[in-house]
Amino acid sequence: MSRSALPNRRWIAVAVVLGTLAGTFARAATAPPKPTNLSYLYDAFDNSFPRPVARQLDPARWVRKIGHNPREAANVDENDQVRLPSTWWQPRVGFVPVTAEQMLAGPGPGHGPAPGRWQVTKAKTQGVTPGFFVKDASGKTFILKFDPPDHPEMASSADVIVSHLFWAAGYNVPDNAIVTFRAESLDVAPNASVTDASGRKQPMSREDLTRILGRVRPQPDGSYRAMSSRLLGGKNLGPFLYEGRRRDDPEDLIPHECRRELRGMWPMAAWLNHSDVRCANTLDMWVTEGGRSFVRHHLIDFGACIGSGSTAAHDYATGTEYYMDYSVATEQAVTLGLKSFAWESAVDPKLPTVGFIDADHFDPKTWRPDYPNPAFDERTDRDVRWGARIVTGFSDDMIRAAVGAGMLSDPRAADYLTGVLIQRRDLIAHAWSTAASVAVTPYHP
Amino acid sequence: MTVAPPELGPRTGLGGRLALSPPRFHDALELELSGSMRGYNRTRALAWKGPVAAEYAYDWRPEEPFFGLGSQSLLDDQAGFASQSQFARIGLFRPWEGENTEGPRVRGALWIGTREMVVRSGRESGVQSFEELFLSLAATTLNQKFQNLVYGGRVSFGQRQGTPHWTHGVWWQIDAARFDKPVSAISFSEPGPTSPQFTRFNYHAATAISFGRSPRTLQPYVQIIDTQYHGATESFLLPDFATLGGSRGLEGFESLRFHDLDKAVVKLSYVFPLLRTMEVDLHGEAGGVYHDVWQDLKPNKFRHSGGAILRVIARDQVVLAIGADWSHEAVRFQFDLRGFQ
Repeated sequence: MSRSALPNRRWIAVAVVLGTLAGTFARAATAPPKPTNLSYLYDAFDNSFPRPVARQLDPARWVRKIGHNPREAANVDENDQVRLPSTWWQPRVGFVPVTAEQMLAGPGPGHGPAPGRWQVTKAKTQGVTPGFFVKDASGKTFILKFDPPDHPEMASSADVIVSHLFWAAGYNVPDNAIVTFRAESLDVAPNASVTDASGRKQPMSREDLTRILGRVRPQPDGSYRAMSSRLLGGKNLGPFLYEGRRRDDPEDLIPHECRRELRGMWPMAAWLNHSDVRCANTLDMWVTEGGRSFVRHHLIDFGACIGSGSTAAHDYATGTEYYMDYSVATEQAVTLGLKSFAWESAVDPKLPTVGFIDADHFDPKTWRPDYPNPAFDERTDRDVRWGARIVTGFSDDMIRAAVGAGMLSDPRAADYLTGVLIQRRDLIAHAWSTAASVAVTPYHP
Repeated sequence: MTVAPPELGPRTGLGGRLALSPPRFHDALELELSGSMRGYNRTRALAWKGPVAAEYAYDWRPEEPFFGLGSQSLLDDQAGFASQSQFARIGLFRPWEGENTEGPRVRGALWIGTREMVVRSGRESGVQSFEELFLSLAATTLNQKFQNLVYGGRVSFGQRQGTPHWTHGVWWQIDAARFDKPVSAISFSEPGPTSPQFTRFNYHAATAISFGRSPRTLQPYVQIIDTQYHGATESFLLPDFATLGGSRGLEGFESLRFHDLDKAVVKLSYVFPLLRTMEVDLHGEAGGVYHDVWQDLKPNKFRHSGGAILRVIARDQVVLAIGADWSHEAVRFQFDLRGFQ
């Protein structure tokens, strides 16, 4: 074999690879991936039992750990920043100037269904809190979610506040807003359906609507308060997983657990007590923009954040232990339960519209969601510092503005929540020393 | 109609219970059919209106163990017996029956009814029937239909609080039942040989003391059964003896390991949380069976058992319990998934 033949062969190989990739991308432009249908129960089981055990039995991980050579994020550039463009994340707070007004507009327009009559197209009665799909006068569809009766304003305000903050942090989220309406302003669409407690779908009547609203606590003036979330544009492809890839999406080349924006989301989740950060609260949409079709990855459903556990207040242990936390359980078993839990001296603020969240027991180094998240498990200090840079980029005024969007009627609740979020942000800044990194690492998109 | 765990007791095998509550009776009538792979079955009908209830039940228990009388009976002397019983009673049950778990409450019940009991040869393969090992006990009771008029009452006081395990409060209960001469007018069949007549008192008491915000709880419990019977022990029906072993106390021993007229058992449990979703129950038990508990009870002769249970909790309900209990004779493992054991 002559030495001069090698470069030619190399170029042929490159051409074949590029051709294959070009063909792949060309297919991507026309063929959406198949929608995923995941079992959320299995996801909880897999991430609580088999995966943690398998992780401990992974020799490669132990070798890296002993050698202090962790596997760093794969989608970063030479400045350790997320490569752009990205369908997962955009540089905003911490990287580029973002005003409170921009944050409140979010994915826009940020004010819920247009005033006027709303047509109910679908309803669900199962679960602790009911929900509706409504179509406004302009034809846009929204889902309306209500608060648990014992905690008015709690889940709806959490959903709106946290969606604004996550948008400002650079993530794709739905357009969420607090809305109020009167029962008389709702019409039942002719083809509306209702899913009953046993999961059966039936035609919906006015009586169904009245019955469902009967489970919602009205406001003192008789109106109803809800969180409205505009349906995302495009084709629904189901949730994404926090590990592996969507194999039929040719643009999804990097295992999700190796993505900086997912690993580095941990400080945001810790700050906002987003214990429910799991695949069930994500959504991929097949969208066409600028003549190109692609999968956009969203975070959805923030009703179990800050002090809200969605259907009840967060319990005191949220953020301090997984549902199945082997290290905490071992400590308790060895000490016969005599070791105090991290949360045991927590003080309930007694604010039903907030639920439970505090700063005194927030540990910005060890916060945990309800069950292990594969991307968070792989996080390194560089990932966390990247995320902490975003968290510390939120000014007090932005936090105050985001809490304001939650429209908490009790000013004590709004003040408490604002104060707690500011304190938790400061604890993250202190723990991860991000002031220096913000100063010396400008973002280079 | 609902399908549920059988509630036939331990050592009855895999089974199920079919409960039917016809809507036209506005939930005032319930019919139940339970069965298990080991041949146990029960038919039960319950009707009630306000506090008055009427109940009928038929029970077939083919593989009950018997090791002889007293705490010193030998494991090697295992024999088997079957029992076939039916009873009907009427009384003031609801809303007073059942365990009280929240708030201070005094409960009571009064009932009267009739019972028919037949003791038959054990059906368990590889186990001798009791008439082969315990001739004197079988001589007067085997295959005889015994009828009794039964009446009694119950009073309990409960001030238990906390979920899923009760963390503080007290609870006590006294049951008294008289198994009297049959009344032919209300007997299931013509009274046969003279039925053993006795009075039984069953005393329970428990309390709980907790510490810590996620409660670590100490739960002492005591139970005493005192049977006042003046006839020959040989003519006493096997299913009527007080028992220990398994879920009836001394869980580290085989179910129904000890039989006699009376029994006493004490249990101390220490329940502590592992996580918000898990708790551990460490417990120790001591007790014995006696011919006369007040005269024969000697704590230094108690049988002992210990155990641990891991409970998985969701929304303040125990959804799974896995445990083991051990004694010098056996180790017993238990598993309970929402009532399936």
